[in-house]
Amino acid sequence: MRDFLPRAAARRLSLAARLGRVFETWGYARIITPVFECADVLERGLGGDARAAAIRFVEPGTGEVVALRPDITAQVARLVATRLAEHEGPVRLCYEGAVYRLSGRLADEMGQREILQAGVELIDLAAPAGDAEVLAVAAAALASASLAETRLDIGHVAPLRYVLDHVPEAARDDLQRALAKKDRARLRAIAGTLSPGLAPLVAELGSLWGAAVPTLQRAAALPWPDEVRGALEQLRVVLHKFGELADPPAPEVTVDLGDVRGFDYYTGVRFAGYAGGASDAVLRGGRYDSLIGRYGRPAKATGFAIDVEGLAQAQRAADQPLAIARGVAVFGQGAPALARSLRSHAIRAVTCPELPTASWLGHAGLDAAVLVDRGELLRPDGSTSVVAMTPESLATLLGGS
Amino acid sequence: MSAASPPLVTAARPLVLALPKGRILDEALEVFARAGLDLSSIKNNGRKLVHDCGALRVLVLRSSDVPVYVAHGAADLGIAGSDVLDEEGLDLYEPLDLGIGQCRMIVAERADAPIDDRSQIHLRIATKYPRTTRAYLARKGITAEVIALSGAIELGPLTGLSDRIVDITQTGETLKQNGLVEIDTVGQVSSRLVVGRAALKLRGAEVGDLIHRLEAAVAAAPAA
Repeated sequence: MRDFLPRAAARRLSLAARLGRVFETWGYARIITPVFECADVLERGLGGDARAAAIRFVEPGTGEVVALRPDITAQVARLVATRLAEHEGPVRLCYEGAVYRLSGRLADEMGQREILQAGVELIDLAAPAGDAEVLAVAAAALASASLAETRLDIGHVAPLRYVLDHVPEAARDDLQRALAKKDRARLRAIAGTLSPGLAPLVAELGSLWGAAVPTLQRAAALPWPDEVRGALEQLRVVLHKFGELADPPAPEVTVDLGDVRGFDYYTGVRFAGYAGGASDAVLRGGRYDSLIGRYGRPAKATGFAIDVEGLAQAQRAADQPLAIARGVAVFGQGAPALARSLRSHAIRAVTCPELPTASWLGHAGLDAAVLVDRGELLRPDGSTSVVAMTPESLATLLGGS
Repeated sequence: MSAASPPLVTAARPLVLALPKGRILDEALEVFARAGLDLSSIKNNGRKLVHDCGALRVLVLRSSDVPVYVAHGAADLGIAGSDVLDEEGLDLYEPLDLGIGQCRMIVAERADAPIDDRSQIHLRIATKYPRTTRAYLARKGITAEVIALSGAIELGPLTGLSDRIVDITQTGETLKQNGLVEIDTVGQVSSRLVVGRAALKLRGAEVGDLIHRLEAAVAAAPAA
């Protein structure tokens, strides 16, 4: 848990607002869901990782076990299956809010984390059209953060699922660990113990990542069964349709077919977004056709969530300036009226009962003080200049946000 | 909304590589040399901590800090012992076993005072690797007290601090000199190439190229 001071809060909120605008322009309607709800209900819609990370407590009023949402997708799934059950699809929804998780690499370092997320869910639109659309929205969302270095990394769960379903039970954990690390030597060693049909697939799965076209070509050259071939072909189609749908310039797309994270949750195309300056994915999503059915209305669905904090870190690392409106303190005769008209010029204006000091301007995050009686502008560095005391000339002088 | 966004700057920055100081460093530099990457200037630069070597910027760190730098993205990739990686337990890619820094993680006790299982004492084990040791004990179904130390582990049984130790050993010479004898192997240790989660995706082409070159260099290594 942490506090956000004004500048940090401004960055996160302006990012969340930009993301929300992108989602809305793509036709996604905003919903708000509760921060906690009955644990049994919430957990039905969580993947294994999110379930383990959920913070539960007994609600003293009712004695009921409730859980803070570790994920908003489960709540959207519940809504779609219940309140929106009679709605004609496809349904396009978006959300923004905090999720809460236990996190920490060691059990004894476990702490609670609050993560600000913004995301979309597209329900009742099957592959490949639905996947291509949410990918295009994801690309637009990443682009709205104005970062130089971003990537969309796309995969499909089919190759991994096929391999995990067919290796002997005893080798499964070891294989999953080796894949998580992309440990080539270990994967080759495991492959050596497997049937000739499976061995080349296991040996290569940890290396099937990189630029989209060559990676898919390498994957296609392996002896996959028809169902995996179909999935790889679907991935190719999704990439093509994404190219048509996405706003140029779309971020560079890479492919990773060996990503094991959250594979128990996704049922088809899955993807992640990365940004220079953030040490892990800032966006994760994919198709989850079996999730909404857990709440009683089977539906095809896909979506993604953005870690707003991760994106804010990337912006800071890239020295991305904060988009805050200009602000001034107004002091002297007629200050209320002048402040009022400055506000109508989209300038933040504080009326001061006492003469503001330069150092206070800095602390308050204001760009200048308008000293009406002296006809002067005082800057946070202590410098002053003589200016005309009209809202228009002040607005011009201060510039936009 | 992109109209108000500042222009994009695409600065090709060097890949940041974290190397552990100490005995692994020389072996690591040899592997890089065989891969066609001359990092020898690191050795001649005294106390400098950051070295610019063409396409690579090299940080020389304490070995246990290497995975931390990579996990937080302060380095794109690094070289770290599997002992350190298992202990830190960070979520990193480990695409390559470099076959250097080979040793074993073992359990040892005093040669002159072996612990008889029938003595039914509650074992105390001193180690620099508490997490790995707990995992080993859990695998074996043994409950024991793990005492975390940061060096001179061999002193534990000699001073009565602990009954046994879990530590790494190459030749067993230090153990022998301190009157200790190995009773079990926890695992094999060697140095790995580790890559950060974002680095593998954002710098995939360069990282992939480096992995292939290092893999060839490892395959061409003279037999130890």
